[in-house]
Amino acid sequence: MEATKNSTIIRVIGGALLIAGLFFFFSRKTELENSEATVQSIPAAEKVAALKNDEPINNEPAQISIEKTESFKPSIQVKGILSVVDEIIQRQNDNDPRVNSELKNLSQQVHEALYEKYDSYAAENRNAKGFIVFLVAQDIKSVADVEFVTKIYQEAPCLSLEDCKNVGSGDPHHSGANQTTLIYPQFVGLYQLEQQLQQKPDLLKDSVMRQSIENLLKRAEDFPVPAIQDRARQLRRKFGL
Amino acid sequence: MKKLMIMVGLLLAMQTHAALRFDKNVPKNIQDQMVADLAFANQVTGSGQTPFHKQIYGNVSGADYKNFFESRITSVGLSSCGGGAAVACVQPFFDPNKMWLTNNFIKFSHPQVARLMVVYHEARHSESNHGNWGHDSCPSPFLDENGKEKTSIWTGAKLAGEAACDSTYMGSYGSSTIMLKNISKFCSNCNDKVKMDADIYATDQLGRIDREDVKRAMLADFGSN
Repeated sequence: MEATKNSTIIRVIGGALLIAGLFFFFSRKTELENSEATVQSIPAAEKVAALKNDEPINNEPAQISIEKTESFKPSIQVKGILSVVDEIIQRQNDNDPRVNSELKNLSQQVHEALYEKYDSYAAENRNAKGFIVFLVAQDIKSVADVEFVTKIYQEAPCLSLEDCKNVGSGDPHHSGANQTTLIYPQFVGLYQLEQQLQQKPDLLKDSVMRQSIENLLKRAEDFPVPAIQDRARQLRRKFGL
Repeated sequence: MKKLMIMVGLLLAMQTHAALRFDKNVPKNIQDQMVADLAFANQVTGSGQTPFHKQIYGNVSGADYKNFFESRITSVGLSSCGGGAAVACVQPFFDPNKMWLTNNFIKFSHPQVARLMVVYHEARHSESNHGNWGHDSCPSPFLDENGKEKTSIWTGAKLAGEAACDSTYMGSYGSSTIMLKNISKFCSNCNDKVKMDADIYATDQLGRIDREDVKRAMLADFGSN
């Protein structure tokens, strides 16, 4: 009886010591992580300046170092944005709130990186490709953006979700959903173009931009899918193009 | 911190689907995707809803979508669903409350909203007390608003005669169209891509309503509120 009581007391004390030890360990770990985070948050400009101080005397003058700093920042931003895009696509949970925050008002530099990103995805990855088109076309900034979207109407149409190069077997029940996905990037391009022309009608006042948009719609009308052709014609009529 | 909150939110929403039973042979990645897709639906909040949506689902809300789905589907199995490009199906004469997913569920690169539309469409077919909302054969000829023969959007093949239409907004095509249109219009915690996707896929599904008066009523419903 006495032995059992002692054993219980020992266990209780041991458990309390273990909990206290774990508490101490994790609070210490948090301190260390916070101090590391503080180190990591030093702006890139300061890091570059620190490197500059170690450079030999006969190196480039200060002005060029400042230019290097300016170009260093955007590439971090572009990589960060692309990393977010990759993460959202891989997780396949489209309703990520960052779409409406970090992935809004992207710079032209990011847009240009997205043009390349589009080509990196397999043709069958319709959602990923459509997402990239969405990110560029939701905020048309330049003729280059319109030219990027135009190119998707010059692609060979994806023939099946299993393999874009070959016609697959059908499913009449959900053929609508499957076929919409086959042309999802093309649908997204026209959908966002319509939104942009409604929100920013001044886009059409620039003659070069207007011509590039007309060219986009012409290519869309040439795309060998009736639903895309019809949609392009509707937009032409709606905006007098 | 934001990423952590997103993960916690998703995990909490996913826990609410612990009740959905998966057969052992359903691959984990299919289970995870199904749970994640339903978790998205379960956390939807909306600023309103149309009358048809109210009639079928209730509010544009995760709680009502969860109730709709879980009152119809209690388990999920793996099947080819007749093969080909099928993504999901129900076999109501076998088990009306079981949904079957194919490997295409994760193999095909559908937007999340498209996968959700398919599973809610199939859930509607589980209603044995409504004849499982069987589809109509599309009429012959099956004409669009311009008097042109309606064709598959991709192949141009005519839909006339295919069991791929509904003559009521209450059926599987109609009800999933109404759900997506309402998400597009009223979801207050959906991002712009999801709302766009809901609009795109709903517009396609509307094309499967083969009665002009029903389609007009649905368009009027979408324009209300």
